[in-house]
Amino acid sequence: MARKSAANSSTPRPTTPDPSSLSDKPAAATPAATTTTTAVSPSPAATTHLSAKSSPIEVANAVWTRYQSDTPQRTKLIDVFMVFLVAVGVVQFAYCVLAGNYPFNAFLAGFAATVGQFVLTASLRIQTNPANKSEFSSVSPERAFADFVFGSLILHFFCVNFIN
Amino acid sequence: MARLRLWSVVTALLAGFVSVSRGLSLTGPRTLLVVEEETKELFKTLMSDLEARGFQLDIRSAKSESLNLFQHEERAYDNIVILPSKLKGLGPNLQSSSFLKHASAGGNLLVLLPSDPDGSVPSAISELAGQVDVILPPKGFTVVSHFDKADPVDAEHTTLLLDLPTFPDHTKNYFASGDDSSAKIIYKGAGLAVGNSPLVQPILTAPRFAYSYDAKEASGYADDESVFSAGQQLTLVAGVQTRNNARITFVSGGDIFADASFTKIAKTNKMSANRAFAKDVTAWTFKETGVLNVDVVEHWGVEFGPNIINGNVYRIKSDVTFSIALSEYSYDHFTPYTVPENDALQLEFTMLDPYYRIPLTPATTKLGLQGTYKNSTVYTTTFRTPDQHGVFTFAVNYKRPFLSNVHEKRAVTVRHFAHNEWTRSWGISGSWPWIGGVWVVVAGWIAFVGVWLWSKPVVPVAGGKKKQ
Repeated sequence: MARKSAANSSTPRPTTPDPSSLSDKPAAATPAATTTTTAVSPSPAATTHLSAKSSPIEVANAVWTRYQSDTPQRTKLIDVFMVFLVAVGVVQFAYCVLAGNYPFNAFLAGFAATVGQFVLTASLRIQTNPANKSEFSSVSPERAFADFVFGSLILHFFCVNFIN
Repeated sequence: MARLRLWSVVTALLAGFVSVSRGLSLTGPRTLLVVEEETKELFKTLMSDLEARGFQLDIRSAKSESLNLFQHEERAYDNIVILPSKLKGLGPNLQSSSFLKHASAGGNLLVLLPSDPDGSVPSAISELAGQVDVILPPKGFTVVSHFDKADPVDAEHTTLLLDLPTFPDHTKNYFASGDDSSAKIIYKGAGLAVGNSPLVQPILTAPRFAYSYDAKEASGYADDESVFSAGQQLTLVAGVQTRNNARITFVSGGDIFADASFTKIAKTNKMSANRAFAKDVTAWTFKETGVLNVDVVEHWGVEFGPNIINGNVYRIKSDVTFSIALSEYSYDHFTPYTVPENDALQLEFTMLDPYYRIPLTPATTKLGLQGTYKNSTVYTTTFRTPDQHGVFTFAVNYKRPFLSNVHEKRAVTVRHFAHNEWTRSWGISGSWPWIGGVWVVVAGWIAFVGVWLWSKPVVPVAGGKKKQ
């Protein structure tokens, strides 16, 4: 993270509306920290001029900058939640590997909760992403969110029951 | 009417007296003594001792026409004693098959073989011996002990002084109950040998240097041809207990129980042990000793305590207590049975194979049945049923030399866990991280939903980012 922010500061970055908020923002930043950027439309200037000889760090920085500027806030929120789910899932799997899988149903329930929630959240991300609007013309974001909530509740019910 | 009542009272009293004076052998008092006139006088003390213990003796000659071991297909006698005689055969009523039929019907048999090398063993007896795995030497054999000066008392070394029998400490000794344990038994006879059958047990064996050989044909020397058996292998008294607990005892050298042997031994200046030994052998043979009785078998689950006794169903991995009350008959009453020190009474918990074989120990704490069975020892154990459901059997299989067989079986069902009997997952500490994981996901989801609803995008600025 330190490396990233250092790279950020060294790279010329012309167009982000609020550079102050950018420079100290971590990857898992709270949604509130980025609220100011969400409403801003993607700026064409966000794309730095990358040549074929650009270093990987420059490429990564460009991707990151582009993500920062172009992604809607709710999509970023979804991404944060998905990262959180991956972290929880990895921790549970690591515990299973290290401490053994007894009781196995508890492991299955705990791990399946993260995986299932991840899948549902991914679906929500696909359906609510403005870039995919043409694909899901019949599904409004509200409808997608309602489906997501319904599916998640069923998932939680099953997991809690399965864990006994 | 009153007279009738009085009469019935009198008969009841009489019946009471009769039952008191009855023999107290567990088989019964009716005893047949097969003896010829010329030997009758030699065994007077044996007979009177038997009568004193309550046996009703029916003294008959083998040649007696009316002698029959069965009447209306029922045993006519409970016990049979065959005393040595000069007869070559015992006649049509005393075949080896009828002796076996007698034993199969639960009757006991004591066979005294002649002490004299010239005496003959009736063919029915040698046949019977062969059928129960007891091997008798041919005619003319006799036991001698030339090499241990302590043994013989006569010039030919054929009359021997023997110690009372001893057994390994896991076997109870029923044959040395006399007052003087150092008393000697006077013995003269041919000996016998026992086969490999587990039903045959040697009661009295010959001393180390004694052997049985053909004293007539090879009196001057003994070689492989003429020696029958020697040392501890040479059995003098052997007891057979059939699978239905009937007993057949062979005494080689019947003079061991004759009046002439119940005397003072000049060499030791003490009374011989023969009379006490005769009592022990007859008592064992006629089931006055060494008879075990299972008074009660109880088992219960520890979870519910002894309130539910001998239930049909137990669960896997649950604690179960099993108790068996054993008593032992001793002449006229039952006493608590104590397992010899190096022996073990074991419980098997069996489904086809024993899953467990657990020692049963005398109950120290007072159990439900301790009070009600004063004449028995309660052996008990508590164990956890295996992780295997099915039909299991509590089995106590206790078969020991000189003891009647105990083989008790109780079949019970062992069921698996009911669905609500498993440990809840929060009761298993290993599952806590995963339970926590589920609830962290739920909490994260709730937070996500909240933030999602709160962060509704500002529609007009972006223009068509959300919602048409």
